[in-house]
Amino acid sequence: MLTIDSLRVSVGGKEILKGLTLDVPAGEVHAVMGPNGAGKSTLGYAIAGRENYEAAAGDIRLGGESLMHLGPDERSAKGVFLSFQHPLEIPGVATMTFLRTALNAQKKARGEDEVSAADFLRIIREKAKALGLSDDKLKRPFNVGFSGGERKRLEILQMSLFEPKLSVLDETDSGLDIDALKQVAEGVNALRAPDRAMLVITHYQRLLDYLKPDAVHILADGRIVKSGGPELAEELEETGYEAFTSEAA
Amino acid sequence: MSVDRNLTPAEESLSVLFEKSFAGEPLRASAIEAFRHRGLPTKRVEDWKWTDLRGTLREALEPAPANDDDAPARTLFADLAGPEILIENGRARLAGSYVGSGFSVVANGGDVDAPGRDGAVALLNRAQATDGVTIRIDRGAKLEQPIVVRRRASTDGAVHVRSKVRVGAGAEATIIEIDEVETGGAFINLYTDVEIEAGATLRRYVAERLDEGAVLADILAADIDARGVFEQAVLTAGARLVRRETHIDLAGAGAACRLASAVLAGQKQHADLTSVVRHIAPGCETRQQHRAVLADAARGVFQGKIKVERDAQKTDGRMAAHALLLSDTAEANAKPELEIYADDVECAHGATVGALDADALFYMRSRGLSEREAQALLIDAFLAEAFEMITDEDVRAGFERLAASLREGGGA
Repeated sequence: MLTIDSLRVSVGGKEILKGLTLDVPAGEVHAVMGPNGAGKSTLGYAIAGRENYEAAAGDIRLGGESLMHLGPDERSAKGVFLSFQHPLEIPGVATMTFLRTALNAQKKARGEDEVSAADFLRIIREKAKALGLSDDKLKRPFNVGFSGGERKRLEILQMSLFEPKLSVLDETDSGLDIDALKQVAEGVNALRAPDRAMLVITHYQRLLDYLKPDAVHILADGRIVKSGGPELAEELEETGYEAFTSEAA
Repeated sequence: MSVDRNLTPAEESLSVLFEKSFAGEPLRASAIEAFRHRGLPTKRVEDWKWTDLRGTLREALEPAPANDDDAPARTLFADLAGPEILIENGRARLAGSYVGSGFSVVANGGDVDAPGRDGAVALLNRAQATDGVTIRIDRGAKLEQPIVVRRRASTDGAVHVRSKVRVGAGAEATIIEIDEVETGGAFINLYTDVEIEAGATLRRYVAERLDEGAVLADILAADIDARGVFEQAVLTAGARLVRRETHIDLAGAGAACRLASAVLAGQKQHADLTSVVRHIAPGCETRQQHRAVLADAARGVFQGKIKVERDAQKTDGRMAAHALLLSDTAEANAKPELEIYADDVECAHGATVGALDADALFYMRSRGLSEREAQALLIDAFLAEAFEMITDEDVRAGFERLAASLREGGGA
């Protein structure tokens, strides 16, 4: 589903990803773990197509199709979703309006029928309820007055709404208490499907306890330095990243 | 101020009284003399430092001729019910007067008796005004429909309109002013004198559709008595030069003014919103929100002053002016000012200039919105605080639609 091939990305003149190669087959959940500064968030931004995170070399493909020359909105319509580490607030833009505009923009780009206001309301309420987000919150401007946990839930709600082929979860566990973590993990697990792939970027193992990844990759100094099964995450928890970062250097 | 220089062709042409009959009127004659002495304002005049009227308006101007052709139906606020008073090329199309329930509108022939303000542009208006309307709202009358004053300029030339609004005690009225300028060779000079009696409310909403070559100067001077309320909203896309000045005297205790303005300008358009609110009596309130969205090489000027006189204790004044630059060549100039002589007051002002939030744009695009759609949502959100001050919901919706069409039209 997702294939990243020798990807090099510089940000502000500094090379962050230095030839990263990664493959996430359909139906699988892969974790990317790594120390601070390894390039984890850069990887997420590069996949989503953020300006100034363009690749100097290499390729990112989704279902065999290169994403390299597509803008973030086009990638989104192709089925890429990034759950942000720090979801921002957008004052003055109503949450419901934004989500419906976004959903219909994706559908329109794919040549699908748009969702009516009434249908949208029904769908969004159902999804919000499952994630423990109140109707009242959805009436507010986007993320304004939301706690850190509520912002993360709103990210997962969007993932569930857009039904992406590839979900990239960037530090979705950060800032969550244990109850919120469970709720978010349930939301993510509910989306696991044979035709979808997920890439979970995280610093700690705890989210992985709930998500049970098929594979774990260690990212250090802009490269995948080791790949393995779920046991690799446990190993990391004991040894720390140091062994791998020195290996990379 | 005395100017020691030659008059431009525009100044020469403007300082000849347009109609022979005007020469017999001493007030007009003295006003034209004073104008001739000063000339049009230059950037050296402090409150014109960012808007160069003299430099912009150089060519000689003829007075715009009377035009009796049928005007096409208006496109702005087309679905709004209520009487429409048309002023075409500076002449009111009224058979004498229009009398409605609780109000009257009279063509005033350019009523210049009230001295008005003494700036060069106001003096010029006083000398040359061909016509205007005097609107009287009866005491205690609550008008159910807005009065639409539609000013149209269909020919090149200079147009001077001088109007009066009198709102009787306890009355409530809405006036919508629409400026339509069809040609780029038009210079429009508007002056409106307003008196709001005790406990009365006047809402003034100004929208426009101007040829990009037009030059428009508009001055409103309002005197508000105790507990009176003046609410104003202006939406402009600018033109070669647009300047709308608002001068408010909060003269009676507990009076209030709410001023909202929004600029959506692109190309090389210039829009200047200048206001001075004087708190003269105690316990008065000012709320002001200005927003400018500037694309291409557009320029937006905001000058807002709240002056609190010695007796105006318990003044409550707040002013915010924010500009959004959509290009490297757009320019915003802002001068928010508080001048306070009373000691027990609460006043605050803030001004910012910035670009669209790149993080927010990326976030929105990553959710599927095109760059254009994302910008549109952010711009609408930026303007919202200004439009929220409009208490008439139909008018607010109209302003939002108009802003959206300006945004879509590439003007901004």
